[in-house]
Amino acid sequence: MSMGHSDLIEVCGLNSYYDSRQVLFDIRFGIPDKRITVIMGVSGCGKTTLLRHLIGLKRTGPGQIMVDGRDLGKFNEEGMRVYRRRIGVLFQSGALFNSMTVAENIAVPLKVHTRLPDETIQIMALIKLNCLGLAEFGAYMPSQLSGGMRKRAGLARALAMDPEILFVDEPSSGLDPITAAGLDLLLLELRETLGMTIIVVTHELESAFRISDRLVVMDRGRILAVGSPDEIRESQDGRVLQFLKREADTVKVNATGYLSRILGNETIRSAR
Amino acid sequence: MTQSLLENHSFREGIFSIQLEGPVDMETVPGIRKTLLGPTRKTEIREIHIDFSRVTVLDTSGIAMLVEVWKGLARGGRVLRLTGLSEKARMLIQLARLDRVFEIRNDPTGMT
Repeated sequence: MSMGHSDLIEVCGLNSYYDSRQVLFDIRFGIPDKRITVIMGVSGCGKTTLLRHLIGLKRTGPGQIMVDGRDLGKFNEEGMRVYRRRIGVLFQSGALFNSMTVAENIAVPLKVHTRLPDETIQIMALIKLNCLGLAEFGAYMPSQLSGGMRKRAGLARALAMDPEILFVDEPSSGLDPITAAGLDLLLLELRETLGMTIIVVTHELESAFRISDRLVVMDRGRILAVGSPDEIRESQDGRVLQFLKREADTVKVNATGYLSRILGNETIRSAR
Repeated sequence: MTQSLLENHSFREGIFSIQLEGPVDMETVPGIRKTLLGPTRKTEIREIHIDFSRVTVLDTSGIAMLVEVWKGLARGGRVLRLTGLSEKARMLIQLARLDRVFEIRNDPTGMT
Protein backbone atom coordinates (compact mmCIF):
# COMPACT_ATOMS: atom_id res chain seq x y z
CA MET A 1 0.00 0.00 0.00
CA SER A 2 1.19 3.50 -0.64
CA MET A 3 0.73 6.14 2.05
CA GLY A 4 3.72 8.36 1.39
CA HIS A 5 5.46 7.00 4.48
CA SER A 6 8.46 4.71 4.21
CA ASP A 7 8.75 1.65 6.41
CA LEU A 8 10.78 2.27 9.56
CA ILE A 9 10.76 -1.39 10.57
CA GLU A 10 10.58 -4.41 8.28
CA VAL A 11 9.87 -7.91 9.51
CA CYS A 12 11.47 -10.31 7.03
CA GLY A 13 10.55 -14.00 7.27
CA LEU A 14 10.56 -14.14 11.06
CA ASN A 15 10.04 -17.52 12.72
CA SER A 16 9.84 -18.02 16.46
CA TYR A 17 9.91 -20.94 18.85
CA TYR A 18 9.22 -21.69 22.50
CA ASP A 19 11.54 -24.67 23.03
CA SER A 20 10.77 -26.89 20.05
CA ARG A 21 7.26 -25.53 19.48
CA GLN A 22 7.03 -23.11 16.58
CA VAL A 23 4.75 -20.15 17.31
CA LEU A 24 5.50 -17.74 14.45
CA PHE A 25 5.79 -18.81 10.82
CA ASP A 26 7.50 -16.72 8.12
CA ILE A 27 6.14 -13.36 9.32
CA ARG A 28 6.61 -10.58 6.73
CA PHE A 29 5.32 -7.00 6.88
CA GLY A 30 6.48 -3.40 7.16
CA ILE A 31 5.81 -0.78 9.83
CA PRO A 32 5.47 2.69 8.27
CA ASP A 33 7.14 5.70 9.83
CA LYS A 34 4.90 8.15 11.75
CA ARG A 35 1.79 5.98 11.31
CA ILE A 36 -0.21 3.58 13.46
CA THR A 37 0.20 -0.12 12.68
CA VAL A 38 -2.18 -2.49 14.42
CA ILE A 39 -1.34 -6.17 14.80
CA MET A 40 -4.67 -7.87 15.27
CA GLY A 41 -5.64 -11.42 16.12
CA VAL A 42 -7.31 -13.63 18.69
CA SER A 43 -5.60 -14.63 21.94
CA GLY A 44 -2.81 -17.10 21.34
CA CYS A 45 -2.26 -16.17 17.68
CA GLY A 46 1.32 -15.09 18.38
CA LYS A 47 0.91 -11.32 18.33
CA THR A 48 2.44 -10.76 21.79
CA THR A 49 5.38 -13.00 20.85
CA LEU A 50 5.83 -10.86 17.75
CA LEU A 51 5.74 -7.75 19.96
CA ARG A 52 8.46 -9.26 22.17
CA HIS A 53 10.64 -9.70 19.08
CA LEU A 54 9.97 -6.15 17.93
CA ILE A 55 11.06 -4.63 21.26
CA GLY A 56 14.14 -6.84 21.43
CA LEU A 57 13.04 -9.01 24.37
CA LYS A 58 13.06 -12.21 22.30
CA ARG A 59 15.87 -12.71 19.83
CA THR A 60 15.81 -16.36 18.82
CA GLY A 61 14.48 -17.86 15.61
CA PRO A 62 15.38 -17.52 11.94
CA GLY A 63 14.35 -14.38 10.05
CA GLN A 64 15.10 -10.74 10.58
CA ILE A 65 13.66 -7.54 11.94
CA MET A 66 15.24 -4.62 10.13
CA VAL A 67 15.21 -1.23 11.87
CA ASP A 68 16.35 1.61 9.62
CA GLY A 69 17.80 -1.11 7.39
CA ARG A 70 19.84 -2.69 10.21
CA ASP A 71 19.24 -6.19 11.59
CA LEU A 72 17.90 -5.89 15.16
CA GLY A 73 19.10 -9.43 15.89
CA LYS A 74 22.68 -8.33 15.26
CA PHE A 75 22.62 -5.24 17.46
CA ASN A 76 25.37 -5.37 20.09
CA GLU A 77 24.79 -4.16 23.66
CA GLU A 78 25.34 -0.51 22.71
CA GLY A 79 23.06 -0.86 19.67
CA MET A 80 20.30 -2.31 21.86
CA ARG A 81 20.77 0.50 24.39
CA VAL A 82 20.33 3.08 21.64
CA TYR A 83 17.29 1.19 20.24
CA ARG A 84 15.66 0.95 23.66
CA ARG A 85 16.03 4.72 24.08
CA ARG A 86 14.15 5.18 20.81
CA ILE A 87 11.19 3.06 21.90
CA GLY A 88 8.51 3.25 24.57
CA VAL A 89 6.40 0.29 25.63
CA LEU A 90 2.99 0.28 27.30
CA PHE A 91 2.44 -3.22 28.62
CA GLN A 92 -1.04 -4.70 28.99
CA SER A 93 -0.99 -4.37 32.77
CA GLY A 94 0.36 -0.82 32.71
CA ALA A 95 3.27 -2.25 34.77
CA LEU A 96 3.38 0.58 37.31
CA PHE A 97 5.32 0.16 40.55
CA ASN A 98 2.67 0.11 43.27
CA SER A 99 5.06 1.35 45.95
CA MET A 100 5.75 4.59 44.09
CA THR A 101 3.57 7.60 43.32
CA VAL A 102 2.45 8.11 39.73
CA ALA A 103 5.03 10.89 39.20
CA GLU A 104 7.80 8.72 40.67
CA ASN A 105 6.81 5.93 38.28
CA ILE A 106 7.23 8.27 35.32
CA ALA A 107 10.61 9.39 36.61
CA VAL A 108 12.01 5.83 36.73
CA PRO A 109 13.21 5.54 33.10
CA LEU A 110 14.60 9.08 33.23
CA LYS A 111 16.63 8.28 36.34
CA VAL A 112 17.88 5.01 34.88
CA HIS A 113 18.74 6.18 31.37
CA THR A 114 19.80 9.85 31.67
CA ARG A 115 22.12 12.12 33.67
CA LEU A 116 19.37 14.69 34.14
CA PRO A 117 19.13 16.29 37.61
CA ASP A 118 16.12 15.46 39.82
CA GLU A 119 14.63 18.96 39.46
CA THR A 120 14.47 18.61 35.66
CA ILE A 121 13.09 15.07 35.90
CA GLN A 122 10.31 16.17 38.27
CA ILE A 123 9.21 18.87 35.84
CA MET A 124 9.35 16.40 32.92
CA ALA A 125 7.10 13.98 34.83
CA LEU A 126 4.58 16.78 35.42
CA ILE A 127 4.66 17.76 31.74
CA LYS A 128 3.94 14.15 30.70
CA LEU A 129 1.12 13.82 33.24
CA ASN A 130 -0.40 17.06 32.02
CA CYS A 131 -0.31 15.90 28.38
CA LEU A 132 -2.30 12.81 29.40
CA GLY A 133 -4.83 14.67 31.50
CA LEU A 134 -3.37 13.51 34.81
CA ALA A 135 -1.80 16.75 36.01
CA GLU A 136 -3.59 16.54 39.37
CA PHE A 137 -2.65 12.93 40.05
CA GLY A 138 1.16 12.93 40.27
CA ALA A 139 1.14 12.39 44.04
CA TYR A 140 -1.41 9.55 43.90
CA MET A 141 -0.46 5.91 44.30
CA PRO A 142 -1.38 3.65 41.33
CA SER A 143 -3.90 1.80 43.51
CA GLN A 144 -5.84 5.05 43.93
CA LEU A 145 -6.42 5.39 40.18
CA SER A 146 -9.16 3.89 38.01
CA GLY A 147 -8.23 1.33 35.34
CA GLY A 148 -8.33 3.94 32.58
CA MET A 149 -6.19 6.37 34.58
CA ARG A 150 -3.65 3.63 35.35
CA LYS A 151 -3.42 2.93 31.61
CA ARG A 152 -2.84 6.64 30.93
CA ALA A 153 -0.23 6.77 33.71
CA GLY A 154 1.46 3.75 32.11
CA LEU A 155 1.36 5.59 28.79
CA ALA A 156 2.90 8.67 30.43
CA ARG A 157 5.75 6.48 31.64
CA ALA A 158 6.14 4.87 28.20
CA LEU A 159 6.45 8.40 26.79
CA ALA A 160 8.88 9.63 29.47
CA MET A 161 11.94 9.33 27.24
CA ASP A 162 10.25 11.04 24.26
CA PRO A 163 10.33 7.83 22.22
CA GLU A 164 10.23 7.90 18.45
CA ILE A 165 8.43 4.53 18.38
CA LEU A 166 5.68 3.50 20.78
CA PHE A 167 4.59 -0.12 21.30
CA VAL A 168 1.25 -0.72 22.99
CA ASP A 169 0.05 -4.15 24.11
CA GLU A 170 -3.75 -4.56 24.30
CA PRO A 171 -4.61 -0.92 25.15
CA SER A 172 -8.32 -1.68 25.66
CA SER A 173 -7.86 -4.64 27.96
CA GLY A 174 -9.78 -4.26 31.20
CA LEU A 175 -11.34 -0.95 30.15
CA ASP A 176 -14.97 -0.07 29.52
CA PRO A 177 -15.78 0.88 25.88
CA ILE A 178 -15.84 4.63 26.52
CA THR A 179 -12.48 4.68 28.34
CA ALA A 180 -11.01 2.41 25.66
CA ALA A 181 -12.20 4.79 22.93
CA GLY A 182 -10.61 7.67 24.87
CA LEU A 183 -7.28 5.84 24.89
CA ASP A 184 -7.59 5.28 21.13
CA LEU A 185 -8.05 9.03 20.71
CA LEU A 186 -4.90 9.65 22.73
CA LEU A 187 -2.92 7.37 20.41
CA LEU A 188 -4.29 9.19 17.36
CA GLU A 189 -3.31 12.51 18.94
CA LEU A 190 0.24 11.28 19.56
CA ARG A 191 0.53 10.35 15.90
CA GLU A 192 -0.86 13.69 14.75
CA THR A 193 0.93 16.04 17.11
CA LEU A 194 4.28 14.34 17.63
CA GLY A 195 4.53 12.28 14.43
CA MET A 196 5.14 9.18 16.48
CA THR A 197 5.37 5.69 14.95
CA ILE A 198 2.93 3.55 16.93
CA ILE A 199 2.52 -0.23 16.96
CA VAL A 200 -0.55 -1.58 18.73
CA VAL A 201 -1.24 -5.23 19.48
CA THR A 202 -4.92 -5.95 20.07
CA HIS A 203 -7.73 -8.42 19.68
CA GLU A 204 -10.33 -5.60 19.63
CA LEU A 205 -11.67 -5.37 16.09
CA GLU A 206 -13.44 -2.05 16.56
CA SER A 207 -10.42 -0.33 18.06
CA ALA A 208 -8.13 -1.78 15.38
CA PHE A 209 -10.21 -0.34 12.54
CA ARG A 210 -10.64 2.96 14.39
CA ILE A 211 -6.97 3.81 14.82
CA SER A 212 -4.91 1.91 12.27
CA ASP A 213 -3.22 3.20 9.16
CA ARG A 214 -1.96 -0.32 8.48
CA LEU A 215 -3.56 -3.52 9.76
CA VAL A 216 -1.75 -6.81 10.17
CA VAL A 217 -4.16 -9.72 10.68
CA MET A 218 -2.67 -12.77 12.37
CA ASP A 219 -4.03 -16.24 12.93
CA ARG A 220 -2.29 -19.22 14.48
CA GLY A 221 1.19 -17.74 14.15
CA ARG A 222 0.79 -16.70 10.53
CA ILE A 223 -0.03 -13.46 8.73
CA LEU A 224 -3.45 -13.64 7.09
CA ALA A 225 -3.43 -10.17 5.56
CA VAL A 226 -1.68 -6.79 5.63
CA GLY A 227 -3.28 -3.59 4.37
CA SER A 228 -5.16 -0.43 5.13
CA PRO A 229 -8.41 -0.80 7.12
CA ASP A 230 -10.37 -0.37 3.88
CA GLU A 231 -8.29 -2.99 2.10
CA ILE A 232 -8.84 -5.47 4.95
CA ARG A 233 -12.55 -4.68 5.14
CA GLU A 234 -12.95 -5.25 1.41
CA SER A 235 -10.73 -8.33 1.29
CA GLN A 236 -12.14 -11.25 -0.70
CA ASP A 237 -9.76 -13.69 1.00
CA GLY A 238 -11.95 -16.35 2.61
CA ARG A 239 -9.65 -16.68 5.66
CA VAL A 240 -9.80 -12.92 6.32
CA LEU A 241 -13.58 -12.88 5.88
CA GLN A 242 -13.89 -15.81 8.25
CA PHE A 243 -11.64 -14.05 10.80
CA LEU A 244 -13.63 -10.81 10.64
CA LYS A 245 -16.95 -12.68 10.91
CA ARG A 246 -15.73 -14.71 13.89
CA GLU A 247 -14.53 -11.55 15.65
CA ALA A 248 -17.78 -9.71 14.87
CA ASP A 249 -19.72 -12.66 16.32
CA THR A 250 -17.58 -12.50 19.45
CA VAL A 251 -18.45 -8.82 19.83
CA LYS A 252 -22.15 -9.69 19.47
CA VAL A 253 -21.88 -12.44 22.12
CA ASN A 254 -20.09 -10.06 24.48
CA ALA A 255 -22.71 -7.37 23.93
CA THR A 256 -25.47 -9.87 24.62
CA GLY A 257 -23.76 -10.91 27.84
CA TYR A 258 -23.46 -7.30 28.91
CA LEU A 259 -27.10 -6.54 28.06
CA SER A 260 -28.38 -9.65 29.85
CA ARG A 261 -26.52 -8.54 32.97
CA ILE A 262 -28.11 -5.11 33.06
CA LEU A 263 -31.48 -5.81 31.47
CA GLY A 264 -32.20 -9.43 32.32
CA ASN A 265 -32.52 -12.35 29.88
CA GLU A 266 -36.27 -11.91 29.32
CA THR A 267 -35.73 -8.40 27.95
CA ILE A 268 -33.00 -9.64 25.59
CA ARG A 269 -35.26 -12.37 24.22
CA SER A 270 -38.15 -9.97 23.68
CA ALA A 271 -35.90 -7.44 22.01
CA ARG A 272 -34.67 -9.94 19.38
CA MET B 1 28.70 21.22 27.40
CA THR B 2 28.69 18.24 25.07
CA GLN B 3 27.04 18.25 21.63
CA SER B 4 25.03 21.42 21.59
CA LEU B 5 27.08 24.56 21.21
CA LEU B 6 26.51 27.85 22.91
CA GLU B 7 27.35 30.73 20.63
CA ASN B 8 27.03 34.49 20.56
CA HIS B 9 26.15 35.00 24.17
CA SER B 10 26.24 38.56 25.35
CA PHE B 11 25.24 40.73 28.28
CA ARG B 12 24.07 44.25 27.59
CA GLU B 13 21.81 46.63 29.51
CA GLY B 14 20.50 43.94 31.84
CA ILE B 15 19.78 41.50 29.02
CA PHE B 16 21.62 38.18 28.74
CA SER B 17 21.24 36.92 25.14
CA ILE B 18 22.34 33.52 23.97
CA GLN B 19 22.06 31.46 20.80
CA LEU B 20 21.88 27.68 21.15
CA GLU B 21 22.97 25.36 18.38
CA GLY B 22 22.38 21.66 17.69
CA PRO B 23 20.22 19.30 19.77
CA VAL B 24 18.77 20.44 23.09
CA ASP B 25 17.89 17.00 24.44
CA MET B 26 18.47 14.57 27.28
CA GLU B 27 22.15 14.22 26.34
CA THR B 28 22.95 17.93 26.17
CA VAL B 29 20.55 19.49 28.68
CA PRO B 30 22.67 18.77 31.81
CA GLY B 31 25.44 20.99 30.36
CA ILE B 32 23.22 23.70 28.86
CA ARG B 33 21.18 23.91 32.05
CA LYS B 34 24.22 24.96 34.11
CA THR B 35 25.01 27.71 31.60
CA LEU B 36 21.45 29.04 31.60
CA LEU B 37 20.72 28.80 35.32
CA GLY B 38 23.88 30.77 36.20
CA PRO B 39 22.55 34.13 34.92
CA THR B 40 19.22 33.66 36.74
CA ARG B 41 21.13 34.04 40.01
CA LYS B 42 22.58 37.42 39.01
CA THR B 43 20.33 40.24 40.11
CA GLU B 44 21.69 42.61 37.45
CA ILE B 45 20.15 40.41 34.76
CA ARG B 46 16.57 41.49 34.04
CA GLU B 47 15.91 39.40 30.96
CA ILE B 48 17.25 36.24 29.33
CA HIS B 49 16.74 35.94 25.57
CA ILE B 50 17.35 32.51 24.03
CA ASP B 51 17.58 32.13 20.25
CA PHE B 52 16.65 28.63 19.04
CA SER B 53 16.97 29.28 15.30
CA ARG B 54 20.01 26.98 15.05
CA VAL B 55 18.62 24.27 17.35
CA THR B 56 17.90 20.99 15.57
CA VAL B 57 15.93 19.19 18.31
CA LEU B 58 14.12 20.38 21.41
CA ASP B 59 12.72 17.58 23.58
CA THR B 60 10.83 17.47 26.88
CA SER B 61 14.04 17.74 28.92
CA GLY B 62 14.79 21.01 27.09
CA ILE B 63 11.34 22.34 27.88
CA ALA B 64 11.72 21.29 31.53
CA MET B 65 15.03 23.16 31.63
CA LEU B 66 13.28 26.28 30.30
CA VAL B 67 10.74 25.96 33.12
CA GLU B 68 13.64 25.96 35.60
CA VAL B 69 15.13 29.07 33.99
CA TRP B 70 11.72 30.76 33.98
CA LYS B 71 11.21 29.93 37.67
CA GLY B 72 14.65 31.36 38.48
CA LEU B 73 13.78 34.61 36.71
CA ALA B 74 10.17 34.87 37.82
CA ARG B 75 11.18 35.20 41.45
CA GLY B 76 12.42 38.72 40.65
CA GLY B 77 9.66 39.51 38.15
CA ARG B 78 12.16 39.10 35.32
CA VAL B 79 11.60 37.89 31.74
CA LEU B 80 12.49 34.79 29.71
CA ARG B 81 12.12 35.39 25.96
CA LEU B 82 12.39 32.59 23.40
CA THR B 83 12.91 33.22 19.68
CA GLY B 84 13.46 31.15 16.54
CA LEU B 85 11.54 28.11 17.75
CA SER B 86 10.63 25.50 15.14
CA GLU B 87 6.99 24.62 14.57
CA LYS B 88 7.49 21.26 16.30
CA ALA B 89 9.14 22.90 19.31
CA ARG B 90 6.27 25.37 19.56
CA MET B 91 3.81 22.49 19.43
CA LEU B 92 5.61 20.68 22.26
CA ILE B 93 5.52 23.85 24.36
CA GLN B 94 1.84 24.26 23.54
CA LEU B 95 1.10 20.62 24.49
CA ALA B 96 2.77 21.27 27.84
CA ARG B 97 0.51 24.34 28.15
CA LEU B 98 3.55 26.55 28.60
CA ASP B 99 2.96 28.77 25.57
CA ARG B 100 1.31 31.35 27.82
CA VAL B 101 4.10 31.13 30.38
CA PHE B 102 7.13 31.79 28.19
CA GLU B 103 7.42 34.94 26.12
CA ILE B 104 7.71 33.54 22.60
CA ARG B 105 8.71 35.71 19.63
CA ASN B 106 9.35 34.80 16.01
CA ASP B 107 12.70 36.42 15.37
CA PRO B 108 15.83 36.99 17.43
CA THR B 109 15.41 40.76 17.47
CA GLY B 110 12.26 40.17 19.50
CA MET B 111 10.32 42.58 17.30
CA THR B 112 7.73 39.97 16.21
